[in-house]
Amino acid sequence: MRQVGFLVDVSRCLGCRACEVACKNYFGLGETQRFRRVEEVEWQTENGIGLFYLSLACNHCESPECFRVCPNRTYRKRRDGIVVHDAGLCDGCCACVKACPYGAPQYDADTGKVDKCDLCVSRLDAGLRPVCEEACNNGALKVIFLDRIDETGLLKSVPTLPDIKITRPSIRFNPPVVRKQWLSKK
Amino acid sequence: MAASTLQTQLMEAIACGGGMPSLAKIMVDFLGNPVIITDQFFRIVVYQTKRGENIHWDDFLPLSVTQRESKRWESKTERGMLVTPDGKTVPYASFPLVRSELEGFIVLLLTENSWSPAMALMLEQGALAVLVALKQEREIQRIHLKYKDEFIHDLLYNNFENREVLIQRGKTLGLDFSHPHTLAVVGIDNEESPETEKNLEQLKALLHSSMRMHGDNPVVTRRGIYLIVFLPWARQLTFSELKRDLNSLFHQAKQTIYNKLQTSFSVGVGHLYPAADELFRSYQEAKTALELGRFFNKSDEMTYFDELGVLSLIYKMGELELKAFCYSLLNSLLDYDRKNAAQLLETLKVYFQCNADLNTTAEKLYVHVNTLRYRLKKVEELLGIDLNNLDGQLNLFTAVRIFSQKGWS
Repeated sequence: MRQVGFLVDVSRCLGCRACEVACKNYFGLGETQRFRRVEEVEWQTENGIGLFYLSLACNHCESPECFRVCPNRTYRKRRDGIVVHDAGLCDGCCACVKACPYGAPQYDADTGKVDKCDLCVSRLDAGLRPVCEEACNNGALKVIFLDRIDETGLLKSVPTLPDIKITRPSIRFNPPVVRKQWLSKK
Repeated sequence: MAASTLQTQLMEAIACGGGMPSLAKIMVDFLGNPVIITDQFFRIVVYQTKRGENIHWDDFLPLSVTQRESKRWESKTERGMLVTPDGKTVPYASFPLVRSELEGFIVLLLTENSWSPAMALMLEQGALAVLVALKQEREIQRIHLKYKDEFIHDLLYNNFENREVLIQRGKTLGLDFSHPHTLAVVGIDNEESPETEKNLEQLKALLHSSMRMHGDNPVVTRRGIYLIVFLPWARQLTFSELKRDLNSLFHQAKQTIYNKLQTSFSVGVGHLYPAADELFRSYQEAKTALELGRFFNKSDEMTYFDELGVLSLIYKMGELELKAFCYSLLNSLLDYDRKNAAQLLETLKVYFQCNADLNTTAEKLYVHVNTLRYRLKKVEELLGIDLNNLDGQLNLFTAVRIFSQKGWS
């Protein structure tokens, strides 16, 4: 069963938001839409407070909630596992917006419809890479085939990521690493 | 000499396009005894007898393979007694079909001629040819399965333009989706076990056999770590009719399967939609039912999405709203647990898991029932609720359930 997904190395992510801006720019997104979002995460470790940046878009879940609740059947999942949304069928009811635990579908007030990251399917089909992956200069974001990688050492979830048991998102993480802090917060 | 002639004849039969039945017939002629060829789970692939005798076997022979035994398989003939479905005992000899891994068995029923070293040699010589034919058939099945899998993916993920196209495509693969179908998702309970892959394959074979009690053409397919079962119905059923029939079917299936499988499994059942083009919803519902039914680490559960009740409403709500609800109710409890290294939340979980039975809860927590009473009193004080009041219980039960399910801290 093919499944395309993201591999995020949170230890390499600098929080520069190049991926976020590249996506918004490429798709000409509405003012309130951010298909890819980079957020700062603090988490409690044995050695103290750790900090990393989490870059998230649509996780193209194995059991997408958006897909289940949409009354207009606007979602479908391709054979490579990418969940695509047909904006033409969308009436902006936002059932999917409420259902998705990761905030992937987003409402655009200008068009009155919802849309989300589609892993740049048109670019992938043309043999190109997604814009977010290309924009990342630090190699923190990669698009992979989950059915082909060795998942040893990879995490299925990181702190602050919502529960994955129901939706089973197609995303993997290199573990966050607590590095030495040269400047301490007071 | 006879052994090499057997091998030659078997290879000639394969070269002429002969399948397993023709190979089995050749072996019966040489060995003088009925031959059964099975897969690695002892499911019968072909049963060839001499004229006049016929034992009506089930889909599986009453034998089992343990992991310990499977490692010692290399070229080892096993002998013993088989019990037929009508209670008679039959002596047998089995020879494993092994190359890099166990692929199946040749089982010789010693009803006509008794065992001899010559038979052992012939079995060993014939095994290679039978293994080649078995692998050929598996390859054909794999290709057929690939097309079927692609159809099933499109069915489960809403990739058909309309119902007519779906039904038409299904018919080309021998699947009839013109009637209502129930969709059930089956998951092995201990998913992290190293034996999961093997257990899943075995469960798939066993389920397919068991579901034939329902009808001639059950569809049992695998997607990742789940097995999906499609069961057709002649007409749209009410929920109580569906539940009664499915409970009975799976209960019977489990009686057979649990004799052969080393682990338990749970089932989630989606809503019964009248048309096949809604099965994609049923699939997601069935998976949700399966996961929610496993709450509190329960196993061997059968959960219906239609029965989830308030939980199915809750699961439609947003993450932020759910978090706000849970934390607003449980915050003082969580604070207390953190500051005092207490276990009030854990106590509540077990209390609800045990259906509010004090004695069972105390036993599970390894505390005295008075200690449990004290803890519950503390919970009531901290949260300002009365655990004997239904409203209070409902809110708390819901909050604890969501909190645990989501794995929040």
